[in-house]
Amino acid sequence: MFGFGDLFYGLSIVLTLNNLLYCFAGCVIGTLVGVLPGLGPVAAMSLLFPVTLHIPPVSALIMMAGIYYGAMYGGSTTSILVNIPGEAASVITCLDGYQMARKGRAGVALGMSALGSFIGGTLSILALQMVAPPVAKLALAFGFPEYFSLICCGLVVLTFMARGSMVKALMMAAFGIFLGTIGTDLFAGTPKFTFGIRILYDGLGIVPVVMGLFGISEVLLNIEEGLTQEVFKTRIKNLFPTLKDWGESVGPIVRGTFIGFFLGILPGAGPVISSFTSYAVEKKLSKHPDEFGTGVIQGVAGPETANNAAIGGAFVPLLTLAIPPTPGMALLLGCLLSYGVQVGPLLIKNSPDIFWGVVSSMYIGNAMLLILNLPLIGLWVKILKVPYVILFPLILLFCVVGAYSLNNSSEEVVLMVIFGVIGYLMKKYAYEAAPMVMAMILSPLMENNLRQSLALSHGSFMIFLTRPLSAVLMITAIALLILPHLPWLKAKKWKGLEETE
Amino acid sequence: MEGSALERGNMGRDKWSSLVWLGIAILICIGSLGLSLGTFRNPGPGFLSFFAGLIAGVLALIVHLQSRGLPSSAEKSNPLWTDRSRGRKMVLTVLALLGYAVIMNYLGFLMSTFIFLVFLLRVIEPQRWPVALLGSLVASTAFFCIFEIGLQSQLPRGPFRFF
Repeated sequence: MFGFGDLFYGLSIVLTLNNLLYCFAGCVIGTLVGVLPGLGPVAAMSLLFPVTLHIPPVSALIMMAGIYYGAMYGGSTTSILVNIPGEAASVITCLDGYQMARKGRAGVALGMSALGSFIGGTLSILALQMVAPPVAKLALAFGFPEYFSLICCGLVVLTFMARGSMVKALMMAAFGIFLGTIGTDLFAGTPKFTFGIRILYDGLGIVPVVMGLFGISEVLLNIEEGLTQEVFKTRIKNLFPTLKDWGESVGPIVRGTFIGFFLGILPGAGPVISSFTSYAVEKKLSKHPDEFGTGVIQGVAGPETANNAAIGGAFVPLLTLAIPPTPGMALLLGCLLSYGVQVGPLLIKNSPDIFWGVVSSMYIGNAMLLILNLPLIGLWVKILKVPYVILFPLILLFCVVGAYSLNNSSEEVVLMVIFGVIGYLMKKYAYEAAPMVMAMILSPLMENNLRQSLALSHGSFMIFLTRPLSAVLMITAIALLILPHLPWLKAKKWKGLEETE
Repeated sequence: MEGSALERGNMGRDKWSSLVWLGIAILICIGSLGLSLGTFRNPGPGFLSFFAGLIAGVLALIVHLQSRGLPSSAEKSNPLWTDRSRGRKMVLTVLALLGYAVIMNYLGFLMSTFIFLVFLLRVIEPQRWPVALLGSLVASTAFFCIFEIGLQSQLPRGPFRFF
């Protein structure tokens, strides 16, 4: 359990001019990339990664985290006014948010979305503060086999949560593990799959891979499919919901916070699945489920609360176990490792400034975002009107400069473009990129723990089943692999979500 | 087999995409064998990548077998590109990006960025010449000022040292 001393310590780190500016910059950039279709928070974070290498790790993480949760706020604006989600977690908001705008209630939809996001985001940070320290203490009991089993379990959960084919998601995770092995072998010093290319000796850089798979591929897809956006012409007034609106939204907000936080902890679920689940739950609980999709406020309040609450949940495994549950968190892990921060159960003890600084900054960031998204909504609407013909060259340029700045090497740019094409093809052929990216980041950790475990057990794989904690994790992973193939469960999996879609 | 036309189309595409993944998985396994697998007691550098390739290969085979039962019409009902001219634009964008990465080292950031942007604004999403030229000039200069001067990113200089 945390004490207020920890919170005040965190606030003392954030409440400096520099860190407040970084927090504000992160929130503004996050809202911006959330508002603009075609550039998500993960691409924006990877873009800014080279820049953050020049600033202190706490400040860098405060800014990066700001981008991540800021995008959740911004994404809803595009969903409500343009009927195109600014980022994946706001897809479901299009259904009722856009219909509310058509009925002249755009202001209420935007207001409830911002207020719900604020409540969900803030409560999930509180939960993160309470849950993270005990989880970190528990994780101290983890040895090499437990860590290996945890990573296996995490990857299986991630593929289990995949919205498409689980076999395909598992395959992508396997390829991700391979990508993570590229580089120099830590034990033997042998170069692995480097083909004499200089930049590969240190391993495949996460930034060009993520920017390619999530940023460049999205632009290529938009160029090929032709993105047209038309902002719904309406006067945005009455941003603050009425008492009746609040009455209808309290339940969805409370449930959205719980759903978001707990699903956020699970690998792969993150803000996207949380928002879908929240919508499905609200529709199920409603006395008038047939009204969903026609512009009911519950369809905005629940999902928007859930996708923000999921961010707090996602920080739990990242900051306590060094296991990132989403690609965005995987990128944050990559950043932490690059800054030389020891991530894992000892983070809270060894680097309290990072943990409490980032957590406290999220309270302030959420307050900043509420101000940015309510009184300044007109500004974001104006930005929404910037045509894609102007945006896409700028997005490409940002990606190129970001990749080049990593090592001042155009080879990184080529690598990013290659992964951009791979990401485009994966989107076209319905293969998910998230399991690949996360497996790639976890692969070195997985390899190290696997090899150390096998050395400990003299080559026996039974070590993963004879140690209780490891056995529980392994059995969970195996069960999750088998469960979807049981006929009665196969029919039920995501039935609710499919109905929603 | 039940499912929507889109699902059937995706599964039709799986027939070929799974074979590509299978080929990559085989190459990974061969490459890993070359790195030495070691023993279970003392795993070698190719140990994890070999098993990752093996699992990926088996899964690719499963995806392929799942898609084999479909009629060939399922594949044709969902072509990769709905509009061929836009598909060509996508390919040109990729080539432009690769070309940009190459010429950047020779012409420097400012000049290569200007050429890249003019290409995008004239060929990919055609604009009038004045718009394309002026827009490209403003954007490339702004990026240079932000990243080179503001953030000191050390962008490539090219033949004219001050660019």
